[in-house]
Amino acid sequence: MAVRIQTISFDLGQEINHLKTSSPQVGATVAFVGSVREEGSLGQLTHLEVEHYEGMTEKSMQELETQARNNWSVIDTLIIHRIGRLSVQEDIVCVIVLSEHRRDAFEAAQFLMDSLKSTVPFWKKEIYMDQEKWVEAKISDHEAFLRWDKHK
Amino acid sequence: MNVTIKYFASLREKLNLTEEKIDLPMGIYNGEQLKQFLSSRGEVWQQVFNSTQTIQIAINQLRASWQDDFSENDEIALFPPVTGG
Repeated sequence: MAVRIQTISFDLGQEINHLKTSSPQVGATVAFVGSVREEGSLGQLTHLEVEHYEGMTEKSMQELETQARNNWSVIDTLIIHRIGRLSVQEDIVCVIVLSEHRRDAFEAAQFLMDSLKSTVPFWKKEIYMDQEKWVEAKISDHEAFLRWDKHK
Repeated sequence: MNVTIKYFASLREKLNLTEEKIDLPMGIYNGEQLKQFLSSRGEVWQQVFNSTQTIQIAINQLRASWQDDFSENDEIALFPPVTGG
């Protein structure tokens, strides 16, 4: 299990191959990647800026990985979240879950992503040509997080 | 009581402050009392801490409630709802 916060991009295929190399019992790999969409809440973005609370961010993500491991039969997990300036189409986040069977990997990956969005201290700011705006938390994201209540 | 207060994202920008080390006045032992104290610092502070915008609190890098008591040398963080991912 690992978490990484970084400014540089990541190579999903390379990350998956690396994880699988050390776990020959893996039968299922689920990966989610979130990217910067060009359409922001006020129109066409130039880029995003991502801020975080160093220290708490890492602890929060590690705690989510522990919860995933306690609730599903998971062999390994990796969460990477980027910070700083991110252009349209660049990847922001990836969650990778490896397990023996697909159901555990699907559910654990969704749990990790839903929980990350509502609990881990990252904040995104939309930057436009002539203005900027902090992204507001969505009720739908919080509802997605709440449905995992019994797994915390 | 000496504590460090950190501000993030829109709070940091509105207050123009990232972090402060402060000896809290007597009578301020939890987040609820801290909010009232901070909102008395001036117009911008009052706008931020009396607004309807949700503010969240963490103590020593763990999510906390506004009623949780502080301890000497605590790291208190105030921030808007998170929006990562």
